[in-house]
Amino acid sequence: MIRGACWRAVAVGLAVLMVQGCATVPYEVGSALSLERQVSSPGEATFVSTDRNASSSEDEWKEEAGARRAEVEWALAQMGALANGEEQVGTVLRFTFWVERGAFTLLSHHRGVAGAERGQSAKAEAFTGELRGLLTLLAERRTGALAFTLHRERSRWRVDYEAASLEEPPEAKQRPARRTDYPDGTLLAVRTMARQVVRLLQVPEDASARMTVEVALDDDRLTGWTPGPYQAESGGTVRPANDRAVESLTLAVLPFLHGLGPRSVRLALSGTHEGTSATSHWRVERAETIRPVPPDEAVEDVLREYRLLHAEIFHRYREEMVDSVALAGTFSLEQVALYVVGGLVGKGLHVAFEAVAPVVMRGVTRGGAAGMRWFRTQLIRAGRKDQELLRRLFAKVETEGVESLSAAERNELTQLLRRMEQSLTVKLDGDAKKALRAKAQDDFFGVFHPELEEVLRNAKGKQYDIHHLIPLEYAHLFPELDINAAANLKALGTPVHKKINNVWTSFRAALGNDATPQQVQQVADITQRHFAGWFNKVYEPGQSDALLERATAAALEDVHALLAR
Amino acid sequence: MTNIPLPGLERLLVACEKYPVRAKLRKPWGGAPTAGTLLLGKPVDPILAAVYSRLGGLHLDHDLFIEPCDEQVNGLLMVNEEQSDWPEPFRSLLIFGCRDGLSYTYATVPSLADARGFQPVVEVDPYEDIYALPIASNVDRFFDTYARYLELVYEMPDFSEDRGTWPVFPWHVPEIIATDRELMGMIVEGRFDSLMFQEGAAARRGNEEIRNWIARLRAASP
Repeated sequence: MIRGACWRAVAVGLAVLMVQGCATVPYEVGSALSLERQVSSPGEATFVSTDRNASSSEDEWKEEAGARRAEVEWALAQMGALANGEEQVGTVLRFTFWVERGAFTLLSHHRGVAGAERGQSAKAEAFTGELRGLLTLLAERRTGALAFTLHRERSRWRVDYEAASLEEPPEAKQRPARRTDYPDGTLLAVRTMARQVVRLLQVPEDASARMTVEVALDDDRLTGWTPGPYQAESGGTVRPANDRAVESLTLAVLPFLHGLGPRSVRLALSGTHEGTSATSHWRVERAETIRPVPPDEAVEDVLREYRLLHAEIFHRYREEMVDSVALAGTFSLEQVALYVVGGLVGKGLHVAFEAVAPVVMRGVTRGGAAGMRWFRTQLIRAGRKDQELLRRLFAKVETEGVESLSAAERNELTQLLRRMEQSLTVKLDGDAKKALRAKAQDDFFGVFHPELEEVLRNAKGKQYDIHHLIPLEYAHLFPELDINAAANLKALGTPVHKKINNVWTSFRAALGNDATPQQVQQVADITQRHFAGWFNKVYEPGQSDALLERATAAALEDVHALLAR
Repeated sequence: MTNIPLPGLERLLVACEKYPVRAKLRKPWGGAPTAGTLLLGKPVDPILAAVYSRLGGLHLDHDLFIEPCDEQVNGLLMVNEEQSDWPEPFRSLLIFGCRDGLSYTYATVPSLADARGFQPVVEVDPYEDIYALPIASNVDRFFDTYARYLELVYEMPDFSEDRGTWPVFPWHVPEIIATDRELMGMIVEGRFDSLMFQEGAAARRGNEEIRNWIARLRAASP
């Protein structure tokens, strides 16, 4: 009977939440069940949708049912763990989660107290048991931020919940995970941090004190912590924190480890000392995620793509236990480039390599897709060996963090970037040119101009040649140019390509290896001026042959004039 | 001569079926050139003639393009006409294929035909100062070599559709090229030197690259 009534309360609450995006349903547990409903102040559901993630197929959705259940259990356990032991009537615990595709990411929790009366025993299991159904439904239906507020009453916990108005945070998990345990190394690191922090906590006799701590996280790893300001009332002898502080701190931090990417958690701690106790009592009043400063708009699109990719690879690593070596084999060049841009630039690690590879770092930090593609082009010219090395190193960085690289691996990365830097100003080898030409062709017809793939073919069915406006033989004079960028690629019928090559041949014959970047740019401009009419166009021999001859003659004349200056 | 066995071509066609290679075959044409026929004054290789008696062209999408020669189009003639302005010794090569969408060209070398009339195959790079690399001792061996290359690519543990991650043919596969002992013999004898090495200071770096590649071929030669 009680269970049935509770279910109705959940269903009504959910219906309200779906329609309004916000509702508070008093959630009764214990013996005195009430269906009384209170509506909280209306929240906005702007960033909350009820759509299931479009990228999830029906099969995936079914397969993830177990993972969604595990996520619900995990969220309940976190709330329960922090609620247990709270005996003060009027205590309010508020948890804000981001929920997406059934994955729960804790964004903040805080504790407020209004009243000093000590209540009867009220086990958290009682409310978590009843909240389970609601969370299960929300996990299946909601995308957005949800806030759960636990009110400590005399003999029970009452739960409100509402949609919170937040944009999707970068640390939000994209997919639910069955494995909700914490890695041993993480547990150890969090406990060690907690012990170290607690050593700093003290309260003057019969007084109170406050302190903030910032804990740095990356994926499910704790990477450091820094103590913040400490304030204390005046009082007598200082009293160190009691043993329970370590556990409180550990329990407060651990749930934030279920998130992605670099971030911090700021903890506001408060301590009190009463009576004759030899120790002070400390609690975590507030814990919230602090996100890195948003990057420039120019890189935001790439970083968003990187985060999606990172979420996927990290999920496979943690959930499917695919090791980083196997994962490395699946990276395309675009992905490797994204990892470098996201993993170095997105985390600010590129600064460490600026002395070794200044042009490379300028290239990857230029922003957005352009930076990513520039680096991808450098990877093509670097060749398979360096591609494999970078894949291997970044698979490790993406799964275990940059701090997991050994000294030898860091050295390998440094040497690779140095090699890349040095190669930028060296003439391309025959194999690199061929690889770049093949990639240019794939990109031109596959990415930049798919609409031309079937159009630009000659009578035999052969695809038109892809011409580099600034030719590959002069790429070394333009180290910061993405030689395979869309703007530098033009599809040409064979007769036009041959004529443009003749123009470049006359220039090469006159200057050999002594051409300057300015001269090369001027010749590229000449070819553009005289041949642009045939760029990315079908070549009609009957109509164009005479015109092409005249254009070639004029272009050659311009080149000769340029050389005569 | 049309009954010349073509195990290399068979191997390539099997590879095209086994792997996700989009291949288009053209029907053979009775009017295709026969062995020894002169095409713009160049003798048609007997094995190439045998190939055209079996098929009228082969197109691996974004990859190998064997000139069509069927009732619709005589690509073999067209391409050799188009490149008739190449300097010697490249003008005397008989072009029969290329890399789709690129100007890298495959050709037989009439001047290096053996006693049976079989001509070796080179890859011509006409992008800058023109040169050619020796690829196979005959046309069928060329198909065998290319089939081995595709097998290598598609069997790579880290295979990706991204061609930017593929080994570059023929630069990165000396171990495949070097299995052709007859070809290796011709290389060692210097018979391709006039096609490979260019004169002038500007060509020094390119020549050096080719010498390094030849050294890797010799090191990989069984």
